[in-house]
Amino acid sequence: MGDNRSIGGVTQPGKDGPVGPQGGIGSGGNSGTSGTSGKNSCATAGTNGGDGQVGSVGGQGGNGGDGAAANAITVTVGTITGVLTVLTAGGNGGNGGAGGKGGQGGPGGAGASQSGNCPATNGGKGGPGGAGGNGGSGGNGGDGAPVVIRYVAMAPGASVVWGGAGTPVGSAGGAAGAGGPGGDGGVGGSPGGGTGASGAPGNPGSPGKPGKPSSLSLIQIPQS
Amino acid sequence: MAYASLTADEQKHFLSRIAVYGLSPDDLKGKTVVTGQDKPGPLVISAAADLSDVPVIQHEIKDVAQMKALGGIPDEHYTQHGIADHHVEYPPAIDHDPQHALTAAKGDMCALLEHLGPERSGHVGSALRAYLLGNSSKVQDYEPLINTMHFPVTGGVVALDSITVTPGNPLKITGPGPVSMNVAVMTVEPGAQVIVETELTLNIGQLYANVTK
Repeated sequence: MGDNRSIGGVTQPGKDGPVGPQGGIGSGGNSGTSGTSGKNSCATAGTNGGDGQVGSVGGQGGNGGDGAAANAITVTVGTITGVLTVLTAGGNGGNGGAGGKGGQGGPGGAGASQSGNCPATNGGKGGPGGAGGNGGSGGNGGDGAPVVIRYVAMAPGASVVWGGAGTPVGSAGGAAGAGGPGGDGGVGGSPGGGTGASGAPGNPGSPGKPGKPSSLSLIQIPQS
Repeated sequence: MAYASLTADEQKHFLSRIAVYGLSPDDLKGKTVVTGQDKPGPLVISAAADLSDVPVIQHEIKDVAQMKALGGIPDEHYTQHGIADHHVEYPPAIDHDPQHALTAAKGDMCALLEHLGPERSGHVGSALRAYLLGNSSKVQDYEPLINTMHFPVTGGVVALDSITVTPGNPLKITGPGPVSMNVAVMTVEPGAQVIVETELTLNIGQLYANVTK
């Protein structure tokens, strides 16, 4: 039983932020150049295909929405009997959106084909994947609101308990996006370039700020 | 009739509260509600008649001074009865000419919000709460902005002879708009809940909390 209020409200949490967009594919590597063949040998060796370019970093996740502020409650009562538990709090902030996935690394450049006495060259290595986007920030917690209870009398044994939910905290940012895969090796002679490394994950977003706490005031109505 | 069970003193205070809405004991007759009795689950009270399970009288509130008179804490609590107001969060003293902001906005709410900026707009919201719950003279300079940004508003008034809130069948008081609920005898049984999702003024003759009558 987490919620034991007699009266009160916990307002709506903020909405979660959207996931960030995926990063773009990296550019392809340059193609290798063919060698210049001599009479009995290769005079100038060809070059391997260039490595693919790194993919773009994934987009940052959207920030979570702020929690709604609690609503003010004013109670005027003649006589209170029993134990009244009051609990109010602003809503929690929404979660930050996850960072976007890193873009795919660009394909490696193609190797050159055999040219006379010059052997075919290797294809380039695929580019590394882009880093994941950073998570969005968590939304801010909603502010609490005052509750004012005015009363004329309390029956013997009666009490008002402040079960204040305290300070709602903004949620942490979303998870970072993963890096994209490397590009394919270039097509060429022996052997093609390998697959590029995956990109690093992005950083998680920062948590939102807590809202202001609620308060309870008990005021006895003066007798005229 | 539950109203008849109130002591003379309770009746006096309760009548003085419901009179500001133009209500009398006759408006309570036959209005007894037990949550979960007609349908299981939450019983909803809302200023919007189509959302409310209980009949509401809609009431247009033209400005913050009227809303304070209807449901706020009287200034006399602080100015005459010596009650401290440390629980009230007053915004900082206004640092600009509100009339200038209103004139520049020419009745366009978006323009007014843009002119004020988020921090000053937030201060107006704090001033509204402080006006209603605290000593209104301390935020008097905010009054034109409060009235322009938050009023008029349609509230709902509910009058009941008695209500019993039972476990598993919460009373849910929700918007849009503020609600004034007036009930001679209210019982919140052990484990039962009153869930408040809008600004609420609750006037009760006798409140039994965590008690089975």
